[in-house]
Amino acid sequence: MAAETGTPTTLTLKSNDDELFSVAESAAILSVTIRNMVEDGCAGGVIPLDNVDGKTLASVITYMNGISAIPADEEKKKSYRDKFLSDKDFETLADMVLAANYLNMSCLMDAVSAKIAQVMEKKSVGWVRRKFGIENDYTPEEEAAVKEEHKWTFEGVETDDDN
Amino acid sequence: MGVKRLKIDTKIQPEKKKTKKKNKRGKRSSVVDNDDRISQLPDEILTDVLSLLSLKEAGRTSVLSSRWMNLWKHTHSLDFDGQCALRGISISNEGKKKSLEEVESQYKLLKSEKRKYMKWVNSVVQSHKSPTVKQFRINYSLDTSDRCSINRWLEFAVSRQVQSLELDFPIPTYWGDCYRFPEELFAPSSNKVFDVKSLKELSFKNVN
Repeated sequence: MAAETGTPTTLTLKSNDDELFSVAESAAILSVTIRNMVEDGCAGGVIPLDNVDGKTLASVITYMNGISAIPADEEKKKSYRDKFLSDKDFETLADMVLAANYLNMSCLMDAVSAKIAQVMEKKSVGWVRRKFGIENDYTPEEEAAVKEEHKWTFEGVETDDDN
Repeated sequence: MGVKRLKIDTKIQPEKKKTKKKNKRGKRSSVVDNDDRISQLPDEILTDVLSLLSLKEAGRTSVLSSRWMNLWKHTHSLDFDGQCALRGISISNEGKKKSLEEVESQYKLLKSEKRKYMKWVNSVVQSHKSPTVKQFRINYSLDTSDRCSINRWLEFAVSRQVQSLELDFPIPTYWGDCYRFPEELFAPSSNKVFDVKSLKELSFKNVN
């Protein structure tokens, strides 16, 4: 916890590829995982984050700093989140959502989930498979059986794409 | 600290195992641009994503691959939107006067569509696996004659600690009495013990 009063406390985070990052405690505690460590007095020294690589952690810290600089204004926070995620490719989004899950940051998790859902919305099965590189491991018979079982999901549904 | 991290690790590890299993299983492989990163995400993240899609869209992901077959059954949002099925049916007397045959055929259509709708809700409710449901919405022309099914669905929703419950029954012209909401289901004196503390929103349309 804060050793001196008046100066903002800084935490040191370590990624799983041994990169060290310095971040203001006030921003880092957006992560419930880190907040619990701080509250338990376990945040002194270096905090190892074994499930997050340096590239992703750098991005998450940018987000932490950006969002914590915005005062309690949900609309402004939302527009920051949208802008922050707008230029991220799916690989990065997947890394971010895993990191957010590990760090227990619900606001970032929700935002990334919404972004992924947006991509899938009104798209056909074939389109989603191609977009995300999903390997269809069904045999044709299995696929036909699953389709039959979920026939209702194809009724009255229009998709944006041709397939 | 060690304990906490361990806890989080176990949350993520089972997914890795599942992924390996899936890869081994791979019966048919196809050339893809990326490595199917999305399917490797943990169940709880994918379930969050699916909960943001319409129920039909979420259900349709079952066809993607075996990894996705049952994921949608954990969705937190069960919005049984019946507008699509109702759109094609108009049994009101507005506009052009209809012949008796026309009215009769539309009435029959409405009945068969209603059976289909109820079958849909029943099958989803039966296969649903999440212990909690955030949103539960019934939206179809139903009335008091359907109360047995509706009550069963309500019991299901309440048993899943529903947070937002909506009964929206648009009424066409030839129609029976309104469905009466079974207050006893939610009464504290009820013999059945339901936890309705979770309920934050309750909305009715054409319900007594």
